[in-house]
Amino acid sequence: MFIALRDLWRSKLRFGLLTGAVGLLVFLLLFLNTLSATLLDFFIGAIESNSADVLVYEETARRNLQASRLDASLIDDIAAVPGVVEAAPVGELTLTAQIGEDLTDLSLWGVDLDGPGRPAPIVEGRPPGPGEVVMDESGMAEGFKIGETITLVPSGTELDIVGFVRDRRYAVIATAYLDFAEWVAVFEAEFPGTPVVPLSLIAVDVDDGLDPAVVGDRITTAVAGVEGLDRTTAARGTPGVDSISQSFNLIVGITFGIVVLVVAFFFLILTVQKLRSFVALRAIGASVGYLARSLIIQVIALVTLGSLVGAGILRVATLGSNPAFPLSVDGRLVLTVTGAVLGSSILAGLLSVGRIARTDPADAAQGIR
Amino acid sequence: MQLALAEIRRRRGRWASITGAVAFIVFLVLVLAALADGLFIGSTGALRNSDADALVYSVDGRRSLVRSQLPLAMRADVAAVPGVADAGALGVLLATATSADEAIDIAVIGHLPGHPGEPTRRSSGRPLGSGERFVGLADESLRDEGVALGDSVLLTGSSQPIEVVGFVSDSQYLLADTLWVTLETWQALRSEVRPETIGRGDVVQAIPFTVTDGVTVATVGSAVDAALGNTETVTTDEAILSLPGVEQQASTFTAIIAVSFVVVAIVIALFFALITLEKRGQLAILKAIGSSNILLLRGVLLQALIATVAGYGLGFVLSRLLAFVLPAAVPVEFLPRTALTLFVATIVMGALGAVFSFRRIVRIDPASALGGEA
Repeated sequence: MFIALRDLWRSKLRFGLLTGAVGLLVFLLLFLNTLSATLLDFFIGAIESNSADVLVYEETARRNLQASRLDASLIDDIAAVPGVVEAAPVGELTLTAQIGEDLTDLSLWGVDLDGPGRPAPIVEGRPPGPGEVVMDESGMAEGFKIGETITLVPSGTELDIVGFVRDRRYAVIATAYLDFAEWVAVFEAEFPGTPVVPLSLIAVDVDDGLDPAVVGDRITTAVAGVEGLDRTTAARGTPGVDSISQSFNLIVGITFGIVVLVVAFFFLILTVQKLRSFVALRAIGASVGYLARSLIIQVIALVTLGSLVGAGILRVATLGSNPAFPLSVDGRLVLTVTGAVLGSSILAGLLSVGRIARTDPADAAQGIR
Repeated sequence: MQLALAEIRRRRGRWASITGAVAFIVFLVLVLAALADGLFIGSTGALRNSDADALVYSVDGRRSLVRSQLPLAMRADVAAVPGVADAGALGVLLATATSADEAIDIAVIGHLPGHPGEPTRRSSGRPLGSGERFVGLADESLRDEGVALGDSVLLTGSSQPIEVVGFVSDSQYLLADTLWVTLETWQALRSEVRPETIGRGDVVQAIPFTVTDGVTVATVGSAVDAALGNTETVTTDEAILSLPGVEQQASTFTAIIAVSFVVVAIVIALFFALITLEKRGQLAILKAIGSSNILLLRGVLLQALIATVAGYGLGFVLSRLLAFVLPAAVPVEFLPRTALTLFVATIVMGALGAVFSFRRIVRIDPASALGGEA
């Protein structure tokens, strides 16, 4: 142990450089994971964290909320399916809104405020009344604060913000929830003379103890032209989610491989370089186990330090992140990534142990080459 | 030189390790760049491969092709502004469709054939005639969904199938496959698929235009906005970056690629510094028998060049192989320009790493060779 730490201390530059490289790579891993989690949350939070158990789409919409158009008459059919406690309409409309002096994008959701799909729990403020909305709290960075008034463009409809919900953002833009009847009025103002007001989804609550996925399947079978999905399936099925998560998984996977390889190569080179000393140590009685432990301790010290550096850089990076896209350090993620890197790096370090085990202590007597 | 090469030959394992490390990092950066390029190309083709110099949007549409709306009659007003050579029209309808029993996400784009805004890269079939109804040009990506020349595509909610009479390449819109139809067809489809839009009357979503020779796009754009009032005119390049998510994606990937580059530099420099540290003894001997610093530097640089070129080659091949096994949901696009930039960058980084270790060579005292301790 003593030798391992002494060695670290005496080759500060060498280990410092490697710690820096591992730190940057760990930062890259953490950054990518954080980025994809936040991005996905902003993209499909409204679906994944919805208060309803099951979301019903138009069958041909391919789980795309904005392509899904349902007739209100289907609500009764769906409510009649065994296991369904209640079914309620959900409408989504993306429009331009004015907040203060700025024009911005807004996803406006019309929901049954007391039924499935209601914006709950309210984390700040109160539920909306007539002419009022609650927003996803991330909208605060874009100026959507409690007490402010949103003006819809071009209709001029005014809506007051009275509360916040959490993790209910949709399509990466500010998201507001209001009563369904008022949403219908907004829709009609947006599309004058419209012959229909299509629902985007029908939100369903199921009986306690029933698996939402099972009830979803029942709805798909019982009612023609619709697809009932539990929240997770609906969120994952949203077009684009697959591309985003797979792309990020790919990058994270490759980066992870590189961290492990860099650590492995480094220790291999170092071991080969110090072979003469290892041989001498073995000649004076050090066991392979002892030398292996020293090496593993160095790997652990290095990866731990590197991970701290990586987490530190991430912390600095999140402080400077755009308030409209808040990145934060997730302690559990840091631990998972560090653990994974550590485990694989120790395995990689064993390659070097193999090299040490093959040395012959007798070489020391002959002056090795 | 001979010595540098001989060393690589005699220590194959070590040099293979360095080459391997370089290869994996090159692989990472190439794949990242391919992803970034793939996302950019798949999102922006519809505008990028248009011959328009600029697009006119409504102010409240916030440069969104889906939400902007302008009366079609405004096209004549745009065309009348001095400096405008020709004006077209664009309308987008995001929908799902079925063809050969498969459901597909599709962006139907209405345009005026022969005017700005039309797709410029026709790869097969024939062009659309002006005002021709219910025929369309499909993006090449629709071939993957089983659409062939002469097939019909039926939008959900519509009763009129559209016959594919030609294919265009690189014309996707926000990663959706596109079907280009005449403005007349688009209006008919929109009324069927989105009946709520009927009340809006004869509207289009953007008016793309070209400018005459000798005037700047910005000047004409300002003149258009001044003449029309409630519009926002942007150059095609600005319009591309204003597509939802495109600019954010581009900056995110630039950040990731930049971080990867810093790591590449540090790792490569680290390896060369290590190797030099290790060879201090031999280098001291070489200096003692008369080798100059320059000669030694040349050797180190040559080794760095060999390791980085070999590493790059391996990483390049690996990244291309990966493209074969990637799921279709991951949009990757390997561009020769990106590969070339990275090649130059890798060589430069490798050389810098070698120079970093050269500082140590300079500091080696030839006399230490006599002391026996390396």
